[in-house]
Order: sequence, then structure tokens, then C-alpha cells
Amino acid sequence: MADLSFLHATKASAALPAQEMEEASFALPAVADPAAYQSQLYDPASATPLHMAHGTTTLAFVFKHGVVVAVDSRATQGQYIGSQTVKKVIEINPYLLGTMAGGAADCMFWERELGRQCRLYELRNKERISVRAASKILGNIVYNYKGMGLSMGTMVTGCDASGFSLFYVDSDGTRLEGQRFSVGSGSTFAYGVLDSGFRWDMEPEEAYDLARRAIYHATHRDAYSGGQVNLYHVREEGWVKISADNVFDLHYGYAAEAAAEADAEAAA
Amino acid sequence: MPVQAATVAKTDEDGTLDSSTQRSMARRYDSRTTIFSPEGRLYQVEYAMEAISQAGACVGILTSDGIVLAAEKKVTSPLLEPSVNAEKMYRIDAQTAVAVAGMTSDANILVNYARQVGQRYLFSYRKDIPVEQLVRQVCDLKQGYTQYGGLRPFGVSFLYAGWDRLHGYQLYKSDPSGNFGGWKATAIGSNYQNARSTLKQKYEEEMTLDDAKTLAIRVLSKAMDATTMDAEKVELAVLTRVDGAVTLKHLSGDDVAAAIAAFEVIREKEQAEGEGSSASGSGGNGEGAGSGAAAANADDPPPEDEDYA
Amino acid sequence: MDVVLGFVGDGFTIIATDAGQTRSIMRIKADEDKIPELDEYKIMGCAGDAGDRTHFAEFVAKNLKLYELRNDTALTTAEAAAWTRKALADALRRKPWQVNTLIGGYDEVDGASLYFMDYLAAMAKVPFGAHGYGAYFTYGLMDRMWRPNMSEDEILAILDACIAELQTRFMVSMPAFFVKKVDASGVTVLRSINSFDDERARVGDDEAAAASTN
Repeated sequence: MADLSFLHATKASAALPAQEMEEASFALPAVADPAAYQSQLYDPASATPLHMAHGTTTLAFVFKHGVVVAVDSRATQGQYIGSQTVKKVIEINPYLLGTMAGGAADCMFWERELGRQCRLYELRNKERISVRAASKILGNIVYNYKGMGLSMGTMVTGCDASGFSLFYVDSDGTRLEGQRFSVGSGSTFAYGVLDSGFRWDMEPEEAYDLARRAIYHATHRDAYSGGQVNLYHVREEGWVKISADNVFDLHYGYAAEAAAEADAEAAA
Repeated sequence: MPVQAATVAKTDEDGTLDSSTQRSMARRYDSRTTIFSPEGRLYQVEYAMEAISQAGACVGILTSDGIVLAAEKKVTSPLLEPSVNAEKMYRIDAQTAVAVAGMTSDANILVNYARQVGQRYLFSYRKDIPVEQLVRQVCDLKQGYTQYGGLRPFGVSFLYAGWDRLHGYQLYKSDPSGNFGGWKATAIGSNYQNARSTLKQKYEEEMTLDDAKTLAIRVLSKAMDATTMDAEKVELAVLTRVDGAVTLKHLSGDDVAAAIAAFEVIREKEQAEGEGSSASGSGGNGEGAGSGAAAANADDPPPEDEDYA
Repeated sequence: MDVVLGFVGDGFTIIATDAGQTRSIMRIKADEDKIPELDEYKIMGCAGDAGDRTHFAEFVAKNLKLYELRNDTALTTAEAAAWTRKALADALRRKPWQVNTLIGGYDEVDGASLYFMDYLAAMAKVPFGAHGYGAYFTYGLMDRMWRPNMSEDEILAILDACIAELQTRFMVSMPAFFVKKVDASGVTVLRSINSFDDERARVGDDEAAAASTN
């Protein structure tokens, strides 16, 4: 019989030992009355109801040498920057990556749950789960919670027997296989760079540069994106983290490059 | 003793159980429908079948032009108001009808259920339910009562006559265990063994509807053990498809009498021939049929084997 | 903004959908197949909420398969459409699927047929049909051009006229369409696109160029 336990995954979370829950804590916003501030932000009737990490830029694309994933690291709560060092790439297992946009808690929690189920699949079937199946598990979970307030825009990507693949899964229950996606408030800016610069047969270094620049340009124009660009490359033997660059460093680095190019042209 | 008891006892021929031991066993295990006896039997189910074999006989015969259903009406008292002209046959839906042997009150429940099944399917698919699906759903309900706690099985066997797009005319039989099967001709109720052996001998693939009516009367006359048939004690109906609509036509008293008369003519002719030829006669009269059935039994498995398939 | 179009021809039914998948103001996918194959002889062109669309199509397809396994026979298009309509109607006041569909199929009882069904579970058997904004731009043309028993080429000519009109007048850009046909020999994909193959073919990736044979 098919294992449908994932439909009840919330029950598993309810069984967390109380001790662990007690040790977990959150940093509070540096305002006079954090509780009032939070409740105002969380009020769904407010003009800008809170969604952690709602402002985000993430992207991923499949090319000849695998999949490149790049994300920013800013978490915002309304106008307030909650963090500049959020890990928006979730390392599900050595062959699967998930990205995070929308509600940070929703993404983190459900992608960890996805990781647990992928591991169980591995133990039961003695082979790794396909990216297609893994993304379907996540898609089915969020479809079951459709309309109940989950906020997620994720990409699930990795390598399996059929090669590299990339899936977009969001909390509307949408699940799409695709060649390149960008998700988050900065995605329109990232798409501009990505679509114009993409070639199937890029070398890995070119692909890293394209992805990094796309995220950088998004952070430049989107106030809700920023921090650093975390960059991953999924290869046949699993994913590797390529780099983590502060966008200010990138900004001045690219500016220096542009200046040097302009000088070279003027000289020529 | 139930018929199946005889069958099973035969398989236990190394025989540690004499019949009195069996009877005491039965008393220990028959109080609950859901418990097997040590010989692997469900006594309540067997008793239900036994109850049906006391009920008025029903015969169904399939031809390429339609299906004949015939039933014996047990007239209990002349004071009883005749309810309707058809009391043993029920229309289930546009394509299917049943003939009933067994407890009428149980049958009413199942007929109502079958009609609901039919209408539910029509509601879902905007098409009439294929006959076999209807039979299967009713049998699933019957089966439930042989397995789930503390209730008695339905004391009803059905003959289902129907037509559908997938398999044309079809005749099915079901019993209290929930078993069912498709037949060219079969019988349920009193004397069903004799009735079935007669059908086995006399059924022909190319029969016309009139042939089938005559055969049905022949089988009933044997089952009813009467020298002269009374039209009032017989229900005869024909299921055919006319202009795309499946109809179940109940024959009037006169038409039934005519069918009986037609059979009487044939029987007299057969008897005359039987007296003319040697005494070893090939099964025209009652005894001949009986010995024919016995001979068939020796070669083949017993006719009711399908009940415990 | 999804566009679904369908036509019955001589012994076949054709369904077409645009290949775009939009979210908010953005096209997030340009090669989405919105005509799932329900079984060997049935296709369903879908428009509406993306999550509901795929879920509903899978729900219907799996139930048709279940019927086939239980009863050793497949439902006709009419029966399958009636069942689908009831499934949608039953869910309407509980957890509705927001999908508009065109169900096309071929069977031995009714031949080729097409059923129009909206997300409120209103259903009609139609010779041609369309959903959404696309319907406003194309019904006029369909009424003008459709005739009974048209050949495949004639039906595709109507389809191309409809697509041309959408590309001329409709605000949303629709560069590509999926087109599928169902007839006595089953489902045929007449037009499809795959951006993977296109990308690979553009740069002359050998193994991929061989695969891109749409």
C-alpha cells in the first residue's frame, strides 16, 4: 500500500520533544515594543501582512554541465530588514537542493520534511528518489494545504538517473518542470539578465558569473533583496557550494571591472 | 442436511466425522455467521441456501433473442388477495430485472438496494449500469453479511436477466454467500438440482424464445412436482430489447396457459415415443431425467460446485 | 489568461491550448502542456489555477484507470465526461477545483466527441468550444468557419485563424500552442514545444538535437 503518511506530516511536528522546543528561540526586532510591532506585522488585515523573506530573489537553471542555483540572503519583515545572512538554499540531501522564497518558516519546515521523506524513500527502496518524485511529494503536501495560508515559492533541483532536472513548486499547488526559473520579488530583474545571457553550452565559470550577476542586479533594484549571493552547482556526483559573495563587494568589483573596460576602450 | 454438506463430506472421505458428530459441531459453530467450523464451513450461509431450496422455483433461460424468466408462485390460501401479477420478478433499472427465490422480505431490501445502485450509476455516468457491475455490487453487500459481526445473511438467491452494450443479453445467478456467475440457463429454489439437470439436457444454443418458454415450463413442472400445471401458479416473463429499449414483458394468464398447453403437447408426444422405444429411454420422462443427472454427476463435478469456487 | 480551443472533425477531435504558464504578471514557463491525456482515447484541455489544473487532471485520469481495472472496460467519452462533471459538482461547495475544461475523446459508441465544462460544473456536448478570454476572440471565427465532418487540414485552418486572431488582438502574448488530436488510433500530438530541446538545438548540442523532433 502506498505510503500516504506525508498527508499527516504536521502530526509528526507536534510530537517534537518539549525540551527541544524550549531551547529554540528567536531574536527580536530592535524596536521599543517588539510584541506590538510583530502583531501589527502579522495582522493579515494590515496593508503589508508579514511574510518572512517575502522579498527575495532566487534563480536556478539547467545547462549543459548541470544546474546552477543562486540566491540572495536578505530577510525582510515589511520595511524592516530582519537578516542579511539567511540561507535560502536548503540542502535537502547531497543530491537535492531546494530554494526558499515566501514564508521562510514554511519553506524551511516543509523542505526539511521533504528531506526526511526522501531519506525514508531511500531506505525503503534502496535507491535515490528522483527529482521528479521528490518535487511531487512537496507539491502534494502544499496542495493539501492550499488556501490555508502557506506561502512558498520554491525550486527543487538535483541529479538523478534521468539526469539533471528542475521543478518549480509553489503554495498554490503549482508544480512545473522547467529549464530556468527565478522566484521572488526580485525575479523580474534577475530574469532580464538571465534570459539575455543564457546559453545551453556555457562553461561552468560562465554560468556561475551569469547567475551571480543576475542575483546582484536584482538586489540592486529590489529593496527587499540583498545581503550576499549564495551560489551552488549541482553536478552528477551531487551539489557543491561554489561561492558566497557580499553584494557590496560584487557591486564595487563589477564597477571596477566596468571602469577598467572603459579605460581600455578609451586607450584603444 | 444442506447440499454443500454432502459435497464437503465427500472431500473428507477418510472420514473421521460421522454425521452425528457433524451435527453437534454444527451446533457449536453455527450461532455466528462469521466463524468457520473446523471443517471450513459457514453453517449459517449453508442454512440460508437450504432455506432458499424450500422456496418457489425460478428458472432463467438465455437465448440470442432475449431471456425467459419463469417462477413458481406458491399459493398459500385462496383468501389471500393476489398482490400483483408479478410477485417474484422485479424491474431493477432500464436494462435489468431479477427473479427471486427465498425470503421475500429480505429480497425487498436487496431489490431496493439494487435499484439504488442502478440509479446511482445513472447519476454518475448518465448511462445505465452494465449488468455485471450491478450484480457484483449486490453480491458485495451479500458477502458482507457472511463476514461482518453478528448479522444473518440474506436468505435470497437471484436470477438477474439483463442486456447491456458490452455483452448483450446476460443471465446471472447469485446466492446468499455473495457468489455469482453467468449462465446460459439455470434455476434456483425448490428442486433446483432436478431443474438444472433438465436444463443441462434440454438447453440448446439456437433456441428461440418460444422454445425457451416451453423449456421453462418443462423445468417448472418438474420442480413443482405436479402432474398438471396450473397457470395461476406460474409467472412467466420475457426480457427483450425492442427499438433500443429493454422491456420485461409479463405474460398474461392466457399466454401462460398457452405456453403450458404447448408443453403438454410436446410431453405427450415424447411419452408416446418413449413407450414406443425401449425402456432404457433417453430421458424424456421424470425418471429418465433423474438417472441422466445421476450419470452426469458421476463424470462431472456436482452442478453446484460453483457455489464454493 | 489560459486559452483552450477544441473542435470536432470527421472522426477526430482536436484540442489546442497556449503553452504559457503565468504567475501574476509574469510568464514563468513557455512550454507547458495543458492538454493531459486522460487515457488512450481521451484528452482534456485545461485552463485555470495551475495547482488545481494538474491535480484535477490526475484525479480524473486515475479514476478512469481505476474504473477500467475494476470493470475490464473503459468508459466512453460521454460517460467519462458525466463522471468528471459530477466530481467537479460534488467538490464545488467543499473544495472546488478552479478549472475550465474541454474533454475530447473517441469511442466506438459515439465516435469523436467534445464536451465543454466550466469550473461551476456546467457541461454541454459541443461541436467546437473555447474557454476564457480566448473565447471572446475566437467564437466568432469558429461560428463562421466550422462545418460538420471537416478534414484535419480544414480544422487546423480554423485553429490557425483563431491563433492568428489571438496574436493580433489579445493583450497577452501567446507565441506557442500545444495541439493534440484524438481519433480511432488514439492520441496524436500535432504540435508541441520544448525549450530544453530548443536551447540545445540552437547551440548544436548533438545528443539533444536528435531528441528534439517535434
